[in-house]
Formats: sequence, structure tokens, C-alpha cells
Amino acid sequence: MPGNSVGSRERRPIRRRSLLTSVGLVGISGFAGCIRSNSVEADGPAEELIQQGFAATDTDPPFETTIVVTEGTERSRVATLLKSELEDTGFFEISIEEYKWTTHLDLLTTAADENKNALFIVSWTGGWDPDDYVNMLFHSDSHPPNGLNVNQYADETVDEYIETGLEETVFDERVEIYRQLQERLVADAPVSFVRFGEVTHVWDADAVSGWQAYPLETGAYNAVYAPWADTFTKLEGSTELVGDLGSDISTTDPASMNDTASSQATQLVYEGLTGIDFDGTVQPVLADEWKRLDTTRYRFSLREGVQFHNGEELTAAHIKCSFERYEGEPREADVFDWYGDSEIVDDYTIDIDCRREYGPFERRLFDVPIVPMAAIDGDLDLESTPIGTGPYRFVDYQAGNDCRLERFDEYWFEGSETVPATAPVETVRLEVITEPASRQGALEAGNIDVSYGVPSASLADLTADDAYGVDRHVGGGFDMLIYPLYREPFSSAAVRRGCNMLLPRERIVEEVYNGVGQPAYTPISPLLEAYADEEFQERIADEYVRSP
Amino acid sequence: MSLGRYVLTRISVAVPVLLGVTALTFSFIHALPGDPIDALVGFRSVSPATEASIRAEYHLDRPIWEQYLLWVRNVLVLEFGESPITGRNVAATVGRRLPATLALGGAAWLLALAIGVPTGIVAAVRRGGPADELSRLAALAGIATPNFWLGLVLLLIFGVRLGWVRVIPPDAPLASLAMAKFMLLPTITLGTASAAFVTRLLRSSMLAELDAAYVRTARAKGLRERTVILKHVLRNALLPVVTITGLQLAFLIDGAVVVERIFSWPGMGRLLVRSILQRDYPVIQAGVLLIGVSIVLANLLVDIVYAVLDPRIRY
Repeated sequence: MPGNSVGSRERRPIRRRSLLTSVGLVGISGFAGCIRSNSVEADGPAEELIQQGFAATDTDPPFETTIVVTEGTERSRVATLLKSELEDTGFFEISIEEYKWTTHLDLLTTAADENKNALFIVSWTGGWDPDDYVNMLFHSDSHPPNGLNVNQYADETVDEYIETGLEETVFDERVEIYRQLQERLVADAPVSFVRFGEVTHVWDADAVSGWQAYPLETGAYNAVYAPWADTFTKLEGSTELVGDLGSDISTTDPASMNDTASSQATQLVYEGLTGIDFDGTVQPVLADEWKRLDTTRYRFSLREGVQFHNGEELTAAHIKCSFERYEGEPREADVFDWYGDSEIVDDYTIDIDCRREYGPFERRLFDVPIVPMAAIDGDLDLESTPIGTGPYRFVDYQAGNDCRLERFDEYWFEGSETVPATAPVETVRLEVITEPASRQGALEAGNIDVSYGVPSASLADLTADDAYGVDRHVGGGFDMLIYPLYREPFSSAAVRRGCNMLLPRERIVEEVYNGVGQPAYTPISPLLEAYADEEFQERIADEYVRSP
Repeated sequence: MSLGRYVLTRISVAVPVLLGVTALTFSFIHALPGDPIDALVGFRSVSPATEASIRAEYHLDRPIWEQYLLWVRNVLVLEFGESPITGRNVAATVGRRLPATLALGGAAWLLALAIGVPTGIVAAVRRGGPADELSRLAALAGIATPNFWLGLVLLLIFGVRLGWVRVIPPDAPLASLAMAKFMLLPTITLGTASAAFVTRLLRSSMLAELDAAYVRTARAKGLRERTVILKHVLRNALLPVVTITGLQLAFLIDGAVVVERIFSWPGMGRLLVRSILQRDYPVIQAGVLLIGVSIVLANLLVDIVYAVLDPRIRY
């Protein structure tokens, strides 16, 4: 068993009592001066683990701590459920603090340095590669500000798994590494995984057909027209599709873009060498084929006759420059984490050299849009005028209001049996609607055609209503409970595992999220099926989480 | 001192006030943990050289006082800089939001006065009567109703159920009929509490005046009741109302965050919230300066109205 989960087997006096009497007794024992107050009965496997941990760290129950959540979100109700479960054991006395999102983030990233006695409930969103779900959160190099390993977890075995997983290019080997890594994380429990989120798209069924929910939020508008993913949307009685964005766009330059809304708004404008379709399969986009020359070198052949919205024609030089322009930009790690060099073989062939053997290579290419030379020479400012090779051109963005896209008639796709050469949707307007209730209102009033952010409480009604189409899919997001590892008694893995067993996951999904999402026992989303299929999840849950 | 000179003096006094306010926010915001670099790189690792060059680009590598002085120097020539987060010009960003904010705040303010003043007068004149009781109840409801609730209910009834107005702003210029129609609900949402407040304030201030000796004199010399109320009582009773509504004008313009969120209104409130979340210093500073200016102007306006209402007040 990893860590310090097996402490002394010393048995404590046994007596279960309610919180109230225990508080009363602590007072009395204080006066008496000799009665020990740590007399809480362990009446289940979880409680026994917690008791072991308390003994090993010499902690007297009830231990007072705080659960910190962001204000006004479902998470505060999760915290309430959790508080009652943990307090029921008699080992904890818990208060809940709510903060605004930024304050919460600040507290979170400084918690370990300030030795804050608090558990945090936070969400994390990963992407199409398993590394997204672990590296930033659990690698010892990812302590803030270099990552979000906020409780400063450090475990050599975990680090090693993360590093070898990243450099493994054989699929089956990778799967095995990440499965072992997940098991190790669940056994050591630096955090508890609570719930996998879902993407939920709702559309006006009379106006829109063919819509599908892309599993990752950033790709929500791929559903409009993505021939590489065999997908397009048709409209009834209109040529304009109106969707929504959850917040203002901050920038449209991919090298500094860092928020969901900006990615969503530019999804149809930019394209990369590869794409990842709705099932998670890598598909050729600007590259029509590629092969691996040796362990770190790949040769890409480019699609010919691809035009940028400003009239430039795609060549291998665009690819090289689009990668290299990330140097010195806020998102340079996206590229330079793996990119070594590239060599232009001819106009339509390029060799890319990775700095190391790199498992997620083909998937990472999806996140690096290819931009025109005008942007590289500095004649064009992508921050305000995004130009790519995608099926839609960016028309304008009225800050705070809406963002308009227009079909690009010179788009490279020539049609197939399933997808027409010309996108049926002529223009796309994305309205910024921050309030979820207003998004539902706008959809019901017919002001927008599709929304990816209606409140989860309304989904059941909308699903039952024939006037709306609903598509739900497990996404890349998960909620977790972060333990203050740097403090007793949470320095004891036994205490953390005990808490992990007590988490009322099913109730959280049903009562707080109205059945949207699913209980999570491991970090990697079941979206990446191979790494986290149901059988694996069940085995981990049975072995480490569920009480026998 | 003439009114003109008074206004000039007040404006010159406002400059140090604004400097103080902006200096305070500047230091408070910098005292918070986290900086724009974190928001920019999203807690990914960037090379030290990249971080240094981003810091240098936006002067984030200088001491705070130097950053502040740089900012002041630029503001004096109306140069608000560029946002490190969006790379856009700050003056243009704020300038695009300002008209929407002014329009909504101004409309809500006018609505508050248009409802609050007549209701307040009637309530005071008919003290204890059904009209007074009704206005009391309405005012209580108006003040007690949280505006996010009122906004959502109005949207649900008139936007979703009846379909009379749009739920999100129409695709039309600010000064258009379609936009005016859309603005009805947010205006009511934002103005209701203020209207209730004005009603109650004016009622009690009128009641105090109605008992005054000059009112008896006016009535004794045979003036019509209408003249007594509107020309004498109201004029005197308005002073406290003017003070409050002046400040409310500033508040309505700066404090519409919730209403902006519900009605997807592209105003300053949402911009400021986003900027604070992302530690977008130049935008926060410009916003705070604007709020400071609006409060200073509102106060100035109040003082001028005082002088008009009460001839004894001279500056």
C-alpha cells in the first residue's frame, strides 16, 4: 500500500456519538483536564481508515476544517452533502466557505504555501489525450505557478508514469501506463475524483437538424460544418444559425488564446493539420496523409489547393511558421513542449521533428491552427482579425454582443457522399449570453437556435419536449475534492482514502446535478474509452472506494 | 462666487480625488495574489525569457509606483494603453461599452424619477388614504425584490411566454426602435428599486414640509392647493431627493452588473467583472476612473440643482 496509509494499529476507545454531544464532551474534558476527547467509534471501513490516520498523525477528533468552493455554483451544494457525510463519522467538524471565482483561484494556488487548512472542490477540464488529465494536476513539476498541482503532491512513481506515458507512442503500452498511473493516484488519493461532467447541447428541433454535441466544449461549433468529421447541420427556413457563447471573447490569436469562448468562436475559422472527430478519432484536415519516418520524425503531405480567407495558398512554409510563431507567446508550451524543428521538403511536404518521442503528437496538432503568412510577417493582427483556412470567415465581433461568421466559398472540401461541398448554413451568429437561465429563455423564445449551456435542471423537460433536440455526451471535465496534503491529518493517505470512500457520488450526481454527469473514481474521463472504460472504473471503485 | 467659478473649482478639486481613487485601486489590485501573466498563460509553464518579455511589454516588471505614474502620464494625454489579456486598445474597449451603459442607466434613472416623484407627492398629500397605503406596499415590494429575480421573471413572462420582447438584445443599433423596445424590461428591472426609494424619500420629506408654517401662510392667503404643493412644498422637499437621486444616477450607471448579465447587455459592469477576473489592469483602471468621474459629475450636478431649487444656496 502506498504512502503512509498503514499507521499504528492502536485502537482507540470506542463510542459513537452525534456531533453535538462530542462538542459538549470536548468542553467537559477540557475542564477535567485528563479525559481524552478522541473517542470516536469507527463503525465502517472508511471510518477505520480515518481512525488509523488520526492515530498515525496524532490528531484528536473532531478535526476542524473548511471546505472552500466557488460562490453560487452547484459546488456549494456538493460541499453541503460532503460536510454532512464527513461530520456523521464524528471525526470532522466542517465549515463551508464560498468565494468569488478569482478569490477562490487565488486561495487555491497559494493554499499550500500558506498552509491553509481547507479542502477545495474544483473542476478541471481535460482534452483528447490522457496526459491532459494528470500532468498539470499531479506532476511534481506542476506546483503553482507552473501548473495546478495546488496541494503540492509529489510522488516519484506518479512522475515517472506521467513522463513515460507522455513519451510512449505505442497505444497499448500507453493505455497500460495510464491505467497503472490512475490506480496509483486512487490508492494514494491526493485528491478524490467526484464526478465526470457532460456536454449538453439543446437546439430548436423545428429549425435545426443534424446537430451533434462535440464532446469538448471548445469544439461546440464543429457541429455546424466539419466535413473531416463527417458532420454538418441543416437549417429549416433560414440561412443563419444563431448560437450562444458563455462569455466574451478575449482574443482571437491562437498563440495567446486561453478561454473557452474564444476557442469556440474561432473553431470554424482555423484549421490544423489534423482534426479529432466526434468519436475521438484523429482525422486528416490540412494534412491529407502522414507517416512516421523514425521515432521522432514525421512526414506530412499537405492537401493541395487550400486557400486562406485572405487569398494566400497553403504551403509547407505556413506549417513551419505557424508552429514557430508560438515562441515567446503565452501559449508557447503548446508547441514547444514537443516541437523540435521542421524541414520543408517541397511546397506540399514537410518533415516535423519532435524533441522527444511524444505520445500525444497527432492529437496536439489539432490544437495548433495554421495561420497565413500575413500574420507571421506582422501585416495582420490575429488578435482582432482571425484568418485561417476553415469553412467560415470571421466577419466581426461586437464586444459583449455577438460574433459573426460567414461561409467561406473557396473552402477546400469538394463534397462526399455524406457531406455536401457547400455548407448549408450561410452565416453563423454567436450571441454572448452569460446567464444560463437567459440562455434557456433565448432558446425558448426562438432568439437563438442552439445552446450548449442551459441549466442542468431544465434538461429533463427539454428532452421530453418534441420541439427541442437534446444531445448529451460525457465530456472532458471532472470535479474533484483536493485534500491539504501538507497538513495533518490529511498528510495521512489513510485519512484521505477514508474520506474518498465516504463521498456520496451517486447522490451528488442525482441531487445536485439532476442526473447530468456520472460518478468519477479515476481522473481520466471515460471519453477516452481505452484509458477509462467501465470495467476499469468498476474495478478501481470496488477495490479502493466502495465499502464492502 | 458665481456658479461658473464654483463649477470650475469643483472640477479642479475632483482631480486629486480621482488620483486618489485610482491610486488606491491600483495598489489594492496589485496587492491581490495572482497577476495577468497567470491568466495569460493559464498556469502552463512558459520559459522565463517569454515571461520576462511579456512582463516588459506591459511594464509589469516595474515597481508598482512606477507603473502607476506611467499610467497617469498616459491618461493625461488620454492614452489608456493596450490590454495585456486581449491585446485590444483599452479606450476603444471601454468606449464601445460606455454608450450601452449610459443608455440603460439613464433610462432606469428617468423611470425612477417618472414613477417615484408623482407617487411620492400623491402619497404625501393623501397621507393615510388608500393611495398612500398602496404606494407604501408597492414601494416595499419594489425595494425588497432582488433585481435578478425581477429580471428573470419579467423575461420569463414577456420574453418567453408572451413573446412580446426579445430575450437577448436585437441585432440593431443602440438608437433604434427595436433596441428601445428591448430595453423596456432591463430598464424596469434596474429602475424599480430606485423608484420605490424615491417615492418613500419624497413622501417623508414632503410630510415634514406640509406641517411647516409657510404652508399654512400660503394656504391662508388663498393660494390654490395645487400651487401650494407643487410650487412651495415640492420645491423644498426635493432637496434630499436630489442628493439621493444624484448618487443613484452614478450607481445605476456603475452597478448594473446583475441586470447586464440577465439581459445579456453589453455594458461596463460585465466588462469590469471580466477584467477583474483576468487581472486586466489597464481595463480595470480605466473603468474605475470612469466610475470616479461619473460620481464626481453626479455630485456636481446635484450641487447645481441645489442652487436652482433653493435660492439661499449660493456658492
